[in-house]
Amino acid sequence: MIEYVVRRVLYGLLVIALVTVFVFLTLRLIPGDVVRLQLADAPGVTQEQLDARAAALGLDQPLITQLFKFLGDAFTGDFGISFQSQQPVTSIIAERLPITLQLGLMALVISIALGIPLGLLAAYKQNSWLDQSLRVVSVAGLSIPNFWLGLLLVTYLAIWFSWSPPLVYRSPGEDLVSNLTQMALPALALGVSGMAAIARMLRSSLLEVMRSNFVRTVRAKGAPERTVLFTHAVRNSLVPVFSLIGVQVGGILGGTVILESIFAIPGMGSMIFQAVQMRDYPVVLGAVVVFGAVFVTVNLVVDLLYGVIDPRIRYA
Amino acid sequence: MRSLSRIRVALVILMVALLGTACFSPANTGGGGGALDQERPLQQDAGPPQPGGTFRYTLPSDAKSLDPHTQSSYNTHIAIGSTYSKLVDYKTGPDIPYGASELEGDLAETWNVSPDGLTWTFNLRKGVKWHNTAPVNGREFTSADVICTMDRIRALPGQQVGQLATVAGWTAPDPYTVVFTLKTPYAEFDTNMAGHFMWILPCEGTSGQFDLNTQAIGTGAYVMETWNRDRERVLVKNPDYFVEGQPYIDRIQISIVPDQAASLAAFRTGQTDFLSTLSLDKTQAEKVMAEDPDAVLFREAGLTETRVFMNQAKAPFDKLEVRRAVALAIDRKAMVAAIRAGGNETGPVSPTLFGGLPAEESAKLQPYDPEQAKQLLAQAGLPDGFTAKMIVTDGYGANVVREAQWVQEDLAKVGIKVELDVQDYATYFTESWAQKNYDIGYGLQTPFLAADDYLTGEWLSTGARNWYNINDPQLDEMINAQRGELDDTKREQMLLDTQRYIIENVSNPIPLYVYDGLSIYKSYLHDAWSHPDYGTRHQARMWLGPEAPGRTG
Repeated sequence: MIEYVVRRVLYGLLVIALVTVFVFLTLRLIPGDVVRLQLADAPGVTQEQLDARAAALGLDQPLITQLFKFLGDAFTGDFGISFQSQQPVTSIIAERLPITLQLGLMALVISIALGIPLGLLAAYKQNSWLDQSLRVVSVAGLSIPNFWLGLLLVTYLAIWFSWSPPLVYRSPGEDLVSNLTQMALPALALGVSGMAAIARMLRSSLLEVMRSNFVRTVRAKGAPERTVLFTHAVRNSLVPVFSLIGVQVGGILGGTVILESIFAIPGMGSMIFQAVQMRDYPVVLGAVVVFGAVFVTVNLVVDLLYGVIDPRIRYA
Repeated sequence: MRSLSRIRVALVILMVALLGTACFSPANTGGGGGALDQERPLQQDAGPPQPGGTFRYTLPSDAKSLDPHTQSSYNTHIAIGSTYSKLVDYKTGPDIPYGASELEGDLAETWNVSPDGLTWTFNLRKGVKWHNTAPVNGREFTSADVICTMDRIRALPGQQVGQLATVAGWTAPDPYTVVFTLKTPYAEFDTNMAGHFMWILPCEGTSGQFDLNTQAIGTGAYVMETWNRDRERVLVKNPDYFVEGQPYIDRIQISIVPDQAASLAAFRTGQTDFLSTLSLDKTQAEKVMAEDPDAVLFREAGLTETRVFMNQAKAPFDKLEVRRAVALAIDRKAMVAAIRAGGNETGPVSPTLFGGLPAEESAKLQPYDPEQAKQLLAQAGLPDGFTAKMIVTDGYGANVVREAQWVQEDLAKVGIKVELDVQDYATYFTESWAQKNYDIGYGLQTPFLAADDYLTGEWLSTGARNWYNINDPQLDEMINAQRGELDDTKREQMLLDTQRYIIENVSNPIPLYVYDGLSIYKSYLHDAWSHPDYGTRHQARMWLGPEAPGRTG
């Protein structure tokens, strides 16, 4: 077990390093000169001033030197200084990561809390009108882009009910009610596609389990249908759902990039959005490393939980 | 069969619901700006100003730093625009056209120039106090602070140095006088001192006793109480402001809301009192005006120029006939009416500025004449037209891309087939436009506040923003001559002649029109007379009526 975890952690580190290298190179390949961008609308800026700014940002070094310096520093938790705000990237991330994690967690809870009952209901009432309606809802949930749903929510709640979420972010410690009110809509917009995917996955997984031999045996023993479903079948059908939840985390983290901007939430997502526009390389790279680490960790935890759900899957 | 019909029913219900949500419009927004035709102007005689209340609004992005000398960003300058002051600033008010160049004293009470145009003397106000915040602690503002500020502006690497390029030196003969000595006469030096970057800082800030990136301690009408980066800024009234009785509003709360829909929702639900032009376009303004009978529309006469620009180092744009053909092929009037909320045709200098060519004359000099455009192309040896790639950025918003498409269609009618190359702002600005790495382009020009900023920057062969490869010795001579002319009447004539020469003999970049900006206020907000400079000094004179929500005054 410990060997498995250590191996997975090492693989995870490798994945993060590869993703970082990929993003590092991609950022440099896309056109756009951060030095000129910073000196936009600059009458009379000389080449010397441009060179001095490039040197101050460390961009005068060869690309490979910059890459290894970033990887080396990142390994010690130092992601450099933001080109824009001149703050340490680590402290920016420390300030913003909890906000995005809260939003992601709320979206995940919505996905699971709605997706599992809907999946169960659809399977329990297989081929009924309820099942068919839930299928339509699920397909719609999977098809509607989360940012579009977010825009609709913010616009039409204002028009129809004269209500809009609070404008300024407050941490749960500052004002819990305001915090949850502001987070509710983006969390819902982010969680809907996860909910739909979980409902679909659980339905098909559950129906497959219901046709298996051990369920037939339980039924043959005369157990009522509800007992068959909830006591025996559900647990056995949760493994693929758990895998899906792990993958959903990636989608949720990606979704925060636009949704945090729409709902004025100062988390990692809106930070990445601005940083890419302004070619703030250290911030983008720092965020990628952190998002990568969150994704790898969640998927490791999910893999380890398989054994808890289904004792047949245990890592020696 | 039964289940299939149920699926169909469910599908129909869902589709109707989705269509209803997507297509339902709460107000008849119609075409042609129906709601905007019935403008409700700001109330001008609401009685004497009443103190108190909180003014709330949103902005789409926040400042990265509060240091007004190292940052050229609009976001930084409006963030500190009510906190710091300048020596002189633009005058605003109900009787002054939006964007007018008239100046008034800010920290300087009076100022004058020597007959040779080389010595400018600014007489400072007495008894002005800095905000009562450590380490400045409300001490008196003196000429030493102006000297510290100017020294810093010159010492810092970067763009702000250009503002003092014509200045040989500065001295402070006494605590209330500052004298600038110029290298060559410069008629608009005082206007230059009202420009971006010219905020006066305390010596404690310039010497590093507090961090100018994160703190702003000024002499302005409002003290910055809190700045939560990318979240909000809260300003509170400066009780020691040097203008008697001002400011009137107790508190200003600015929330950073990047998304336009969220800003609109906040205004609709009464969370804010003002929608800035940055959070509003024509369609949205029409909707809000139709919905809200108490909303007041403010039309800001355009200052931002739309332009087609060409790289004269690349054929066929090296030929004047081709550039003139492009200028005559575009139907500016129809274009601005279709895409913007209003505007005026413009010459090289925006028409509202001193020396700006009147809109009517610009229209006359660059008429929509596709037939003549075809003839000019034939004269250039291109009777069948030609093809080129036109750069444009979506970083200025969707309207700019729509305008580029309009230009594309107009040019096609005379045989010039351009392919649009839509780039993100960083690529457009840093790789294409400023690097002269393009054939032809469509875009906006930063609104400058003085005629000379346009001419010297863009049309002078050595201009810092001459990204078009313009090199015309006669034009250089005309531009340099007007800079030193101190007689306003003569200088205005020289500016007009220079622009006529540009339109007829350079025809690049081709100015199309300046478009109006729209902002919307709640009707209880009074005396909100702003200026397009990068500042918010006008907020000192604004006040809230008794019906403003949560008003405590």
